[in-house]
Amino acid sequence: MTTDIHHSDTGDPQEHPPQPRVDGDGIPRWIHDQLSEKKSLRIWQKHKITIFAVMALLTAGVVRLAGFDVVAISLSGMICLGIGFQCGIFLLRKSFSRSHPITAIARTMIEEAVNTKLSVILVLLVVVILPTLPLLLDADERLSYRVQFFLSWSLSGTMLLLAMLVISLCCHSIADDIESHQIHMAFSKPLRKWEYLLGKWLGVASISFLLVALAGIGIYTFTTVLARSNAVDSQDRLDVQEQVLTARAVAKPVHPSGDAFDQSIETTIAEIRERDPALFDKNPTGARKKIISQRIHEWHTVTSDVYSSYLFQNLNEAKTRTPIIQLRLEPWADNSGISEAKVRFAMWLNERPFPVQNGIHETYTFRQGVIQTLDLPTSVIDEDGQLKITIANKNLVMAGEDVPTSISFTPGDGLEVLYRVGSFEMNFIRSLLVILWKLVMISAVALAAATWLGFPTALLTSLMVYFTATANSFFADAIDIYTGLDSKGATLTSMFRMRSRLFLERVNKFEWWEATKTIGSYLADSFLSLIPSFGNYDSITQLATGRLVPLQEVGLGFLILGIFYPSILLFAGWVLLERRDLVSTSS
Amino acid sequence: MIQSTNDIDIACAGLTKTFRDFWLRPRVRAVENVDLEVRRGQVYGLLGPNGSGKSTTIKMLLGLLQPTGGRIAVLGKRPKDVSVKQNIGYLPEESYLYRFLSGRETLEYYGRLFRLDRQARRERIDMLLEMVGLDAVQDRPVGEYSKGMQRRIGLAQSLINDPQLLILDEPTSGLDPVGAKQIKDLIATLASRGKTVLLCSHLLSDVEDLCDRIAIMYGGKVRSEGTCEGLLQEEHASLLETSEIPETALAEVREVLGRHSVTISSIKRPRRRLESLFLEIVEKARAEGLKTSGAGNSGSVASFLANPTNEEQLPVESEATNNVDGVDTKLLDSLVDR
Repeated sequence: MTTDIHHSDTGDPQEHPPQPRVDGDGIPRWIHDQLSEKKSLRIWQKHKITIFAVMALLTAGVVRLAGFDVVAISLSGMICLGIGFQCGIFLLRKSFSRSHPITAIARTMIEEAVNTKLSVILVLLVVVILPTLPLLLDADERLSYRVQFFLSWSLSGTMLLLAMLVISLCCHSIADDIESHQIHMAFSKPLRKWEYLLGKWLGVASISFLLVALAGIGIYTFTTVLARSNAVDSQDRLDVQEQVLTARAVAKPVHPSGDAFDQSIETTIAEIRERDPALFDKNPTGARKKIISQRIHEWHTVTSDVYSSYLFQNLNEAKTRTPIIQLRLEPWADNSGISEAKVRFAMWLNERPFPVQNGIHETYTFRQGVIQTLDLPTSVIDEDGQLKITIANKNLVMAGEDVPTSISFTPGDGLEVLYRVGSFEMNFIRSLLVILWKLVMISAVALAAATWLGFPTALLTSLMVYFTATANSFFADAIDIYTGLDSKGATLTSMFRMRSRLFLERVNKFEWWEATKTIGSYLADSFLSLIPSFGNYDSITQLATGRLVPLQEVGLGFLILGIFYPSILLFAGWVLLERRDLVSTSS
Repeated sequence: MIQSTNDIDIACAGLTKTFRDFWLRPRVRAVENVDLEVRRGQVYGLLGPNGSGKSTTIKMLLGLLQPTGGRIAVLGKRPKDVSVKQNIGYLPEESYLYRFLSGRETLEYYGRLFRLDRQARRERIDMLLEMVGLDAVQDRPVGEYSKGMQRRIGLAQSLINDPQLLILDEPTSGLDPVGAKQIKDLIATLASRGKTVLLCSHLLSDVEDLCDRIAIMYGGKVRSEGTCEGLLQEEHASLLETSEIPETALAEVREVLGRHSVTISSIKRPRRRLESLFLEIVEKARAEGLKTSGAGNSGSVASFLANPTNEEQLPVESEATNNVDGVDTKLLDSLVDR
């Protein structure tokens, strides 16, 4: 059946304004008209970036022939990343071509990502900055530092840019759908609210995956190229392989613990209470922690003419895997006011002197505060996988001082044994996965926020959550300093108890401003406790310092950041979307 | 597939919508106690000036807004039921489309939302693009389309699922008279094939030309409801249309009518409608081969819309309705019981 609508045309001059000589994309109108007949225009429109990239690649070849090798490499890197991005988008479109509402929404999200100006700028920044970063490094610096710096900054920069991209894209996508009523069109079709949210999340997660993979390939390639460039000396080149481009497990000395240690802590507390009962009871948890921390610091200190032993356990794997283990230490001359003070010590490994040259037990002399890495043979590890390192302070008296320096190692990472357990490549992939989990989590935050907030508010909220997650421990410390409490390691309940006590104390003393600060800290603590700390998944630092990114960290990151938080947030977003009217006025 | 319990596609009783502010205080009562009943195959017009509650009523029918009060049944189900939307086509008052998608990609997107398989999707999109005259510009981003072209692609998306119920909100707004006529013709064709059309407009001629029944809304309430014929017929006047009457014959007619106490208030020569003159000019220009860069010639109605088997998808049962004040309360009650 037909109607009489076939023989008609549009004649409204408003609908068809005078034709411009060039089209919106800069193509002359006559070419446009010619091409549209043959469908070649579609090829041009869809592949114009690739065509430009091929032309740029040829330009890079010319630049190289002109003798500007480094510029040519960077230019080629940019082009390859650009082409990779185009190919990745093509593959994502293909993978979401299934006829289903979720894939339809996900695919549209991808189109939005490649068509939104802000997203394109952020992607371009990644594409431009990564290949440019190696050019900015000081060529006179040690190669190991340069590689470490590049890894750390390129991954951190990528994480930051991609987080901005994901947040802006998610917030804009939903807020704009609601504001410009596109959501009416979508929900007038058989589309469930959860399918809509899941589709958006899937789309942005897949873009994150693509960009993380692409940036990963770029960073890996440039790291490899950089690692082959000129080193200061052969030790420098060796350090790159042994200390940076590797995956090393870490063993820390076994701290004093058990009944005897607990007893000594209790004794100290009893002594303090006897002297000044109020001093301890003001903040018992904090005071106890301070005492323990002081004890551990003392334990890491070797005073003059004293021997200290540090036991490292579970080194059986190191014994079977590698002939060399590394002792990483950062010694400090505790009682010296001289910034360039030195420390001198002798060392024994499982009661045997080390190193011995020509029958003489040699000592080590190092400048304080400089990280040293000593290679130790795995043969010194005993059959139980234990290594006892004994350090004797050799009483170095600095010029201008009258007492010998005491040696201390920063508790935590000031004294540790490292040994290779895997390849850099495996570690690199794990690190990228952790970055991806973080992006996936932050995208869920942005989507949930945009379901009930407008674009600017949702954007600010998501940024606040991102920066809080990134600097969670810093903010926790800041709150403690602000309110004069030490809540490190305290549970949420004990923290609340602590703050309540402090609040009442301040009210009793009529310190109203101080009491108000305590109330503020309640809110800040609650907010911080809801947001996961990205510091617990610091894969970038681990990778840049050649430490193993544990599988446990990757798995836990996946469960918590990739599954748990997104599920909760998307559920909350669904509830909000389900309950709210998508039209706020009658007009 | 939706199994309607009777031949009523839309039923509302006591439909009310009050918009509230951030503190949940009532701000605007957009729709108040509206009763509606649209039967299968009807073209039903919702008339009213801006802000009369037409679009709000439509959004409640589509489940986009929660009614504050009253009951609604669309194709025998609650509007919140997602399955009911499988058989609804909706064209909003403005074309809310993604500017970065091309015309074809837009239709692909909506086709995917309806889970149409690739083959069916491609066939329908080709037919719809040809039908609305956008096949030549299908790869241009919608953001580059003129308002009329966006309207056409909007219409195409509303038909991609071959809907039983078509809800059109100001379908001819932004269209030139040719495009407006095409849409009116299309609506008439779809109605003749048993589709139900709810037409919302403040262009009175559109509604008058197309609708079987109309409801006139003002201030959120239905002020008048009935068939076009019933509402528009003048009781105390007659219209006699003849070929040209000579002066002598006219004097005789006056005399005859005067004998029956009938007076002639005016005698006019019939005028052509501006619309028909306009269409004739455009038709002539096209015959002369003049080109246009916008929407091209529209094609025939997409054949999948004409498929007689489609009409069998929604069987109409001749079950008696339980009408109170013109609204099928039995259907609404059955929904409340669910």
